[in-house]
Amino acid sequence: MALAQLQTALARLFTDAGLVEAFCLDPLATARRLGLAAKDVEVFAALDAATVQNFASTLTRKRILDVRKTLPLTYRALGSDFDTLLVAEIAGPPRPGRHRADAALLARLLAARAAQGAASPSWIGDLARYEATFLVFERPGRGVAIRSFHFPLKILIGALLSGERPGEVAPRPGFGLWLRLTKSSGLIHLLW
Amino acid sequence: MSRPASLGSGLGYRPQFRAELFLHRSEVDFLEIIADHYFDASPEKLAELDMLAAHFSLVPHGLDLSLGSAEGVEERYVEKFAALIERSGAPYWSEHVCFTKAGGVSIGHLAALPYTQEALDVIARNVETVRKTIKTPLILENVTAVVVVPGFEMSEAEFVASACALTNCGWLCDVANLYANSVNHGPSLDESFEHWPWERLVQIHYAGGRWKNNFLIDSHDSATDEPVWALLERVAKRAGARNAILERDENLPAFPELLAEVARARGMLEGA
Repeated sequence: MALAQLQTALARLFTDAGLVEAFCLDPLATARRLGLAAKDVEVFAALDAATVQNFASTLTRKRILDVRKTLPLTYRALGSDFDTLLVAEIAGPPRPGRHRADAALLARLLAARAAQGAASPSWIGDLARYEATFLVFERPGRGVAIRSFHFPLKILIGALLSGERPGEVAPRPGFGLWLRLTKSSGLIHLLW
Repeated sequence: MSRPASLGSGLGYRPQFRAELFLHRSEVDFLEIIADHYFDASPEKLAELDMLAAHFSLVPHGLDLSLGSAEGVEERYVEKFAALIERSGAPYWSEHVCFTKAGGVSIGHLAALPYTQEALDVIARNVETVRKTIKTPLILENVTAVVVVPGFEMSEAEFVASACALTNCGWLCDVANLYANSVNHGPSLDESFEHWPWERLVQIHYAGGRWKNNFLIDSHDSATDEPVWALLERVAKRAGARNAILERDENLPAFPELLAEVARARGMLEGA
C-alpha cells in the first residue's frame, strides 16, 4: 500500500462533497480517477459509503461550529440562516487559517450582500465586518485598522448581548478603531 | 518508558468558563489546553496561557501534528509546539494516532489510519523526527474511527499498542473513543480489552457523544454517558490510572455540572 497516495485520496474524498457523491454512486470508478495503485484502488473502493458520508458531514458540522464561535454575534443575529449561508460559502477543503478563513469568507459575503442592498437585516454586513476585524488582531504583531460602518453597531451589539434579536434600524454612520502599538502590547479598541 | 507525574482529575480548558474555573480553582487538579489555540497567538492569548500556567499544571494537547502522515510532520508546527511546551512547563504532551492532512489537503479533523505495518512505520519515523526538537514525553491517543480503512493487518488495539511500543510513548486512553469504536464497528470491548497497552497508560479522556444515523459520534457536546463511565471505572481499575481529563466542547452546561463530572472521575481514579 502506498500510504501517501492513499492518504491524499482519502483527504480529498473527506473534504469534497462532489467526490463523496461520485464515490457513493460508483466507488470503483472514483478510486480509479484518483490515480491510485491497483491494490489501493481495491482498498479505496471498499470503504463503507455510509461512514464516508457520515465523516464528511461531521467535518462540515465542525467547521460550522467553529465559525459560530468565531463570529458569535453574527450567528446570534442570523440564527439558522448563518449555517445555510456558511455552508454554501465554504465548499471544499478547509483553507489555511481554518475557522478564521471560513469566518472571513462569510463576513465578506455578508458585506457584499449588504453593499448590494440584499442583506437581511441590512446591518448584518457591518456586524460581520466588525467581528471579522478582531480576527486580524488574534495573530501576533502590531497594526492598526479603521473601519467605517453604516449602522449604529454599539446599540445593536448591546441588544444582541442582552439576548434580543434586533430587526431593521435606521442607518447612522460610525467608526471602529483597532490598534496594537507593539507586538506584545494589548489591543486598543474603540467603537463610535 | 517511565510514567510521567500523577496529576489527578482535570478539565479540558475552554475560555468560556475561565472566570468560573478560577472561582473553583481547588476542584480542578490540572488542565489540558488545546495546543493549536496558542500557536501564532495574540499577546492576550499568551497572557491567558501564562495565567493558567501560574495556577494549574498544564498538558498541551495537539490536534494537527498529523503523526500518521506518510509525507512527514511539518517542521514549523513542531517548533511552535516545542515553544508552547517550554512556556507552559508541561510534564508531558499528547497527540493522536491519526492523520489530519495529506497531499496539501487539510482535513480539519482526525482521520483514522489503516491498521497496517506501513502506517506504524510512518508513526515511528514521525515521532523520531518530533523528538529531535521536543524532549518532553509524548503520549499517544486512540481516536474515533468514523471511516475504517479496509485491508487492515491487525486490530485497532494491536495497532495502538504497537504504535506506543515502537515509539516508547505512553498511552492516552480516550474511553469515549474506545466505546464509540466498539459499538460502531466492533469488536466488543470484552473481546478487545486485554489487547490494549494498559502498562503504558498515562492519562484518560472521557466525554459525551451523540447518536446520528445509528452511529455514535464523539461530539463532546453532552454529559458523559453511563457506559463510558463504566468503562472509565474498568480502565482505572485495570491500569491504575492517575490522570483523567473531561473533554467538553459544545453545549457547555453550568460549570458545577462539569465539576461534578470531574469529581466523579476523581473518585474512580482514587478508588482504583
